[in-house]
Amino acid sequence: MKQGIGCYLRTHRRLWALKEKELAFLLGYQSASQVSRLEKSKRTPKLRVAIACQVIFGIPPATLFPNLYEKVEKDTMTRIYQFYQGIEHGSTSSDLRKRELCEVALKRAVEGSKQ
Amino acid sequence: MNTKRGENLVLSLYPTSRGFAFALFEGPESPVDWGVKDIKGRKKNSDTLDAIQKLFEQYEPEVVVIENTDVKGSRRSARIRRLYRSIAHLAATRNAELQRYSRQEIRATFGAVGGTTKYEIARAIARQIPAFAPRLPRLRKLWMSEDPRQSLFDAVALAVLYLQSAFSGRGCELE
Repeated sequence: MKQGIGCYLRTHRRLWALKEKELAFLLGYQSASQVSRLEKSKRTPKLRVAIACQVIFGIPPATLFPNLYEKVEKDTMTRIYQFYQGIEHGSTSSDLRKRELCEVALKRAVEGSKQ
Repeated sequence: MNTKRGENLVLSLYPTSRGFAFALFEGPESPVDWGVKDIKGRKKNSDTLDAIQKLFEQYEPEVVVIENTDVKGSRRSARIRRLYRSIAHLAATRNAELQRYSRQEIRATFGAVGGTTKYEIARAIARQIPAFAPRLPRLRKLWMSEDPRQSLFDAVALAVLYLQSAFSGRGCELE
């Protein structure tokens, strides 16, 4: 199975000549080992840390953590499909609106996978 | 930078007497990972191959770039030549395309930007890709041995050469 690059945090840290300890300080971590675990995808970044990464490097979490994004997207799309099936035959205006949301999300995911 | 995993990754390797240097690129001027690994002990080649194998497993590169030591004038040792043959075999078993460039080809390419010596080539790379600027070694004097960081620039030069030929005509020229 291809692994490739699941997390670009190490790349961007090194592009800017930052040490693990320095990035740990910027992210509000106590030690460099926490950054190391993030970089090796051994730990899932918390929302606060993902936003801090975007603030520091100017790169959105979806680009910085592609593996994580892919996993969350897949799980969410599965739930969206289940939700869609539940409201498929509903005829109220709110059901129509919810169906529209599901279709838009599905279309976005398909377009994203083509890129 | 958000490409499909494992695709378009170019791994260049430059073994030395003290280990090896590697550079992984996703595209021209897009380094992903790089470093110099120290390998000590009596089983240098097998330990180096183990470390390279780990890189293959981690990144699954599409292209592997190494130095061509079969040309006349190559001054690499018999051990390094054997190691290059093993790397070529490893790349083949991993279905990675193998590209080889001689020192002459590197010098000819970087000669256009005033890089003829190893140090000048390293300086040209540091100018082109700022991420490597902090790793630029000091200018070597006659009595000094080569800085280990120099091997990193030798590896990067191989990758740049490949990427330049692969992306030629798409705005990827040395400045």
